[in-house]
Amino acid sequence: MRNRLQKAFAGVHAEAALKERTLERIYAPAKPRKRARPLIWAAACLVLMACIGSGLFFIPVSAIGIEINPALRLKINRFDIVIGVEALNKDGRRIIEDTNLMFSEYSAAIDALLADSKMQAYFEQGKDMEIYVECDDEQRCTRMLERVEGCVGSEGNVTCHAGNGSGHGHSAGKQSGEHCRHHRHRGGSEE
Amino acid sequence: MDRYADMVRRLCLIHLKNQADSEDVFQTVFMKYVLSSAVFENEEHEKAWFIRVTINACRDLIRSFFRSRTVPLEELIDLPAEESGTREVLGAVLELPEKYRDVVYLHYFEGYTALEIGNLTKKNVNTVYSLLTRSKKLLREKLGGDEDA
Repeated sequence: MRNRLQKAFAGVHAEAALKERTLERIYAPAKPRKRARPLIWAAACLVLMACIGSGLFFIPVSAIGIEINPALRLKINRFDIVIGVEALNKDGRRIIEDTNLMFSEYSAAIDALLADSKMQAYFEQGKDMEIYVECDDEQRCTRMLERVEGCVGSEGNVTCHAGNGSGHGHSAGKQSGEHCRHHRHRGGSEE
Repeated sequence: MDRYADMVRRLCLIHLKNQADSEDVFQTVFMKYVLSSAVFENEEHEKAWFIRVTINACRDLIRSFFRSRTVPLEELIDLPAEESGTREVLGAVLELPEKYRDVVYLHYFEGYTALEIGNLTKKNVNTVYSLLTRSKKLLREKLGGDEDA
């Protein structure tokens, strides 16, 4: 069997043409590798991710309403960024004309509103401010309410409360569901 | 190239069942040799390098999704018509499970011992002995004849 195997394998040779093509490949000048296809795939993935990302970015998942006399509503996305500012009355329109709140983080937007001189004028008149957080996700609601309360700090008569968007006079959309679950006065206990 | 070309071609033959894949691995092995910075102590060391690199390149290609279709032995190697005995023996080797083929080639044609084959293929020497024994039995069943004559 050994002899037969040796004879059989000895009959197999690397063909001259194969050796020639191999030498040609070895000594051929290096060509830059074509990477067009991976690049196309990478670009397509980027476009897809951008579409999905921007889609998610511009979907509001919660809202913060602010009422003193001006009434405003900030639409917030899942990344806690303000993606819409809505004036709910004439005074509200005056406030948002002069203050750019779009694409800022919601706590920064509330800080900016509270620091606004026109808003300060209402505080000086001794008016009460109401801030409400609307959200379907209870955990998010609680977290946002805590941050909003943190923003309010030692401002005048401010009431903060949160719920799933139902039952508030000015809230647009999300009209179904239970009434506000959390209702806190600044520094007070949960009702 | 002439020194190892036939050996690389034979190793490709026992692993890859089509011409295109064989050529691809053949060229890859020599390309790796040219680009390699390995320093060989002697000819045996260099030969062992070629065996290892060829077997690994064949295995990589076998695992690859882009592996080409298989073809009959007649298309695989250009053998003269009168070499029907050779074709029969090669056919019997190619019909063996893949794990036996390296061992058969390295032992019967290249003359390596079980210990050397174990070192080359990173297999336990007892495993190599078992593979040799089983492959002898399978080949004898297919080809007939005595064991090592």
